[in-house]
Amino acid sequence: MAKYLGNRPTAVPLTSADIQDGVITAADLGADSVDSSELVDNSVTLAKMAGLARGKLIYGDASGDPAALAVGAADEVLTHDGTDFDWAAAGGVDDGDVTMAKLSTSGTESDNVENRVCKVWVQFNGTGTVAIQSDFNVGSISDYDTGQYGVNFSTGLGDNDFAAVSGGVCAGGYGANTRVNDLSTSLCKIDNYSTSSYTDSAIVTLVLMGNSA
Amino acid sequence: MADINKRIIYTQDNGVVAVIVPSKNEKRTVDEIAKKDVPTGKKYKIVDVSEVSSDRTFRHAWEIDEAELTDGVGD
Repeated sequence: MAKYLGNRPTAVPLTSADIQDGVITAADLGADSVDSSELVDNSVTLAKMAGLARGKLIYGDASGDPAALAVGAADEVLTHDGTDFDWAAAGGVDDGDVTMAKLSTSGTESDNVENRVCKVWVQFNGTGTVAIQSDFNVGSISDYDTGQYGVNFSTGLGDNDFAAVSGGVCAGGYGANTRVNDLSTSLCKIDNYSTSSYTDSAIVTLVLMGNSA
Repeated sequence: MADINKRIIYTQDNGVVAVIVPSKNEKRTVDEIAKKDVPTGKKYKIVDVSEVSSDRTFRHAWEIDEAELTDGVGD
């Protein structure tokens, strides 16, 4: 190993072999003299990074620099708007959030939910001043004559191959005979009768299952 | 929201008056209901519920002069 006394000849370049192990301290390094080229790939460990508050995430900010994303609230999920991350309420199913459009219309019967849903129901008073008590998907009812009514759907069905059940009560509280007829995608007629004649009923009901439009 | 205090009346092919009762849940107006639920080409009139008799003893005999059906025609 070459050693020099006094001033080192400038024509002889200094090599690492000329430097004693352990003698160069951080104070001997020039400012900003260490950059990424001096770092071996995969050599920066998590322990070498500055601390980060629990729950925060590192992301690229608008300036292209690493930044810490603030901690989200309980049950929030990380979303992305195409530019930045943000926290948002979890996309789970809240009460009242399942609409008809969300129900399965699968051709596999065991998976189809939409066909299991009642499409029309109504109860109305067919005596005196005919009036609807309560309904679903009924736009109006038609009073054609004694004991003869029609239920006009608010939203039409996909076809007239639906199954409909009607019921009624005659004066005196006895059950009336009822039947549905003249089925169409927008209307289901109901006949309410006792023995051989039509009769009004204070309670007329219709429940209909079928295919949506 | 349909006005449930209104009724739509028209004359059926057999000459008997039919009465249409709007649902309180229906988003259409009474006139829109009439256009939809009155048979195509039938003239209709919209009246207050109080104008329709609650005595149905002779329901099969209810009639109205066609000239009074002036509010529109079913689609």
